[in-house]
Amino acid sequence: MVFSNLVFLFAFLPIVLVLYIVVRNELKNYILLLASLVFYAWGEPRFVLLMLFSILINYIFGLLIDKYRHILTLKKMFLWIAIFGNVLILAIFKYAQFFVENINSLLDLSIHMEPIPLPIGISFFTFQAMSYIIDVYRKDAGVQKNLSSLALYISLFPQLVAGPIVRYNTVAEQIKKRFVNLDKFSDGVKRFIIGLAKKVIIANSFGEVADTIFSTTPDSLSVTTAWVGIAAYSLQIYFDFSGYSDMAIGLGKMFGFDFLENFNYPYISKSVSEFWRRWHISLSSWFKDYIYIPLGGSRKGLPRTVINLLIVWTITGFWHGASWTFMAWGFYFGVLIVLERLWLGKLLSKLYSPIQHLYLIVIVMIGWVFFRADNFSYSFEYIQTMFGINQTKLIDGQAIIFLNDYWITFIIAIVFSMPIIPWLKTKVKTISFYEKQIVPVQSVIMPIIYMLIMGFCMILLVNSTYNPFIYFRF
Amino acid sequence: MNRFGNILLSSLFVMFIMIFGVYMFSTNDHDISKTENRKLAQKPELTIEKLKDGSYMEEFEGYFTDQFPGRDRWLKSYIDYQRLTNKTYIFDYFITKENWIYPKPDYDIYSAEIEESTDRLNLFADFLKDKDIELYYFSVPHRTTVMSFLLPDYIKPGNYLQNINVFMSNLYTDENFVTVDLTNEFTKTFSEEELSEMYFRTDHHWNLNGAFQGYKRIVDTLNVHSDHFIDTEVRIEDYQKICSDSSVEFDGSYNKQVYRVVDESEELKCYYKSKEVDYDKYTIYLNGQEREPSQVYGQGIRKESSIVNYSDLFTYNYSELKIINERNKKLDNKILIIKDSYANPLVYQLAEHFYETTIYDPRYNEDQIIQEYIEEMDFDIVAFVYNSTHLYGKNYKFDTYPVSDAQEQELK
Repeated sequence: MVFSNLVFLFAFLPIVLVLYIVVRNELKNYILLLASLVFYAWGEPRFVLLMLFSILINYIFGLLIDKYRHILTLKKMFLWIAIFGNVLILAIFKYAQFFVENINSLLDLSIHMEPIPLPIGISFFTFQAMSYIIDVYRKDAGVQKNLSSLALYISLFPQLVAGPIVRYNTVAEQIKKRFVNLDKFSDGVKRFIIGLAKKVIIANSFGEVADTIFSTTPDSLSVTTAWVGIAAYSLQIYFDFSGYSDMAIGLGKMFGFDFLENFNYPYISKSVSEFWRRWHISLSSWFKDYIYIPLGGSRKGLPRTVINLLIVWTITGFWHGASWTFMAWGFYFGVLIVLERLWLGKLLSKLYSPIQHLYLIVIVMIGWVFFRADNFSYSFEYIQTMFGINQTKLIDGQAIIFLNDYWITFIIAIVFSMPIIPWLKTKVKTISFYEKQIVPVQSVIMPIIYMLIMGFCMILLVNSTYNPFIYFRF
Repeated sequence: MNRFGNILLSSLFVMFIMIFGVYMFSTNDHDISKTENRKLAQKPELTIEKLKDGSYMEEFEGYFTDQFPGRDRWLKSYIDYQRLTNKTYIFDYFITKENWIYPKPDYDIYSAEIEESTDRLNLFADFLKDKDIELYYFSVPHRTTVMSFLLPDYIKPGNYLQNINVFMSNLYTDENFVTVDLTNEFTKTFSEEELSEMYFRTDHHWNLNGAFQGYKRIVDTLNVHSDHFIDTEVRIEDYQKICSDSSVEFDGSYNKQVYRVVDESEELKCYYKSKEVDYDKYTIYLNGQEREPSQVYGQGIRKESSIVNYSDLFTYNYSELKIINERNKKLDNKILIIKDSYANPLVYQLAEHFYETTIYDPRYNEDQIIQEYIEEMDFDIVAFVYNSTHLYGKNYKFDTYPVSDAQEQELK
């Protein structure tokens, strides 16, 4: 199930909210666990068993690690078995086809493998499970002796299928004890509506543009259409994913959870390093804490740091999908981050600020071409069209149609990809009569605005047959 | 926001998400959507199998969307928003300021498909030649093929004319097989203003004016080429225009696709009636059953319905409609018209010239092989009246059942 779905919004969510409110405190986690399993089974009835299996093995190995905490070899062995088990689940369900295809072409074999459907959210819940195991190993969090509590952590529906990747040590206490009051619930509602609007109003619109353009051969596109296509995709992926994270965070608040932020206006960055501190923060920090630092981070000299960075970023790319293009996309960012560390960063910092922004935007957009395209040849041809090397027209009717149809959405998206709202909030608060005159008016107007946005989303949702979440693939 | 604001927002949100579900499950489900002209999904049956393979969830989502409270209103609001923001295509339709609705142009060239259909048509011509039956192919201009001038410059017209040219050039015509490309003729003969008077704005068909011009050219062709036709001059003065009341709405096929948001008040809801030939004296057989002439042609206007569509104004798509015109008994000429819906306004006019006129729609005769049908009858003329986008497909199968290739495989 997805959040921007009528069944979720008008059947699942109200039922779960009512049940959650009316049951006694000690039953609330069971309600959420049941709801989470139904939520997952709704889209993937078969794979709910896989998730339950993953929960069980991580529960057992968590207990074993904790029990043999004082016997280092055993503790390490259990950690590695648990990590191996989690990686194996990912390898089978996400990467097996890729490995078989590459072995076949490398060794000229013809191993046949029936395609395995990708269980939604597998990369997210597997990484959360590993986070639990490693946190217990490192004593960053206590072992979870209650199976249902661990099951709730791994399967909690707000962040189950598209993150944020919630680290165990950040919610361990909240699973035991949390509170929700009117202010927090209301904050959750606001955040949820904002996320829904990002997804339904902006991301879905750009999805139509990007899908049309990326299904056309690059030599049939004009230069303008190619730029419109990649600009649309860049905004689609940001609003889709950050919208989903907003909805997850908002839903979490409605049930008393405080999840960490996952996005912080990444497109205002001035360097690739900064971009990745602002984009999919939960994934970057997961890789930093659980792979980059254990590999030695930057503590073992420059050559090792460079190697570590390239390894981590290539794996980051591979996490996004089982293909060489995703790996190349990750490696591309690894190389840029290394270059920025070596000399490029210093050079950039001396440049005029808008040029730094332009550098980042162009670099990221080129990266998205590899991310969106199905193969390298398409990506390279597309980039050639973008820069006029394919000698296609500068502008054509298709570009005019897209610009005519989506210019408002482009403006809205560009404006809201910058921290305009926080800036406005800060400014308004400095007005002397803010508390006495603005807050009361705001308290009537803002709920109406939020509900109008919700109503507008409904118009698009009832109509929409086009409603996929991009991050379901991962 | 202060505490009041938080209470207000939380209450509105909870009420909003609860009210639709409660309303939906406490009211009866709808069976059909009149706007969309289709059956709506009903509550799916809950079985273990369906739960296991996920089909229950899929069906439930379809049911939930179809039965969502105020669905038509939400959908219309969506289209209003699209029009307000000047979206080029709404559900793949372009709406001009003058309320003309256009489908997204088709840029494909269907050479392979057309080659197949024209090969079959050439063989069919040979079959008829052996039987000494004249064959005419009238490609009548579909709206999309002649009206692209109303599209803005940035929308490239579709490749319709290229497809028509490929089709026409593939046919081996002779004195027994005459083809007429009315699309090119209309484009050359009529001004843009005249063409605009010949088509519905909100429907994919021609109106009585366009159909009358088509009829005139068919008669002109038969005058020149047919041995079974008395030379006749078609004059507009010999016809009377019968129109519905201006309050009657027109239900255009394109307008249906955009939830009827386009104003249709300027549509011509009329048909032509001969002043000379009394159509009520025709003897009509509909699929072998005798019917009153008034039950077949222009019945929508006579019924005084509040809303009429193209078929209501002229005739419906019948599998077989036979018209006997006793005035031509002496001529004893018999024509078979193989047609699509573009011929619907012409049937009574064409019947003025023959003793027996058989209107045959292959789309509704999937259990009938046309050549076998012709063998059983005694036609002098076979004439196709297909619109100019109808250039290939199952309706070009004459020695086998007119079904799709997939259906043909199943039958085998």
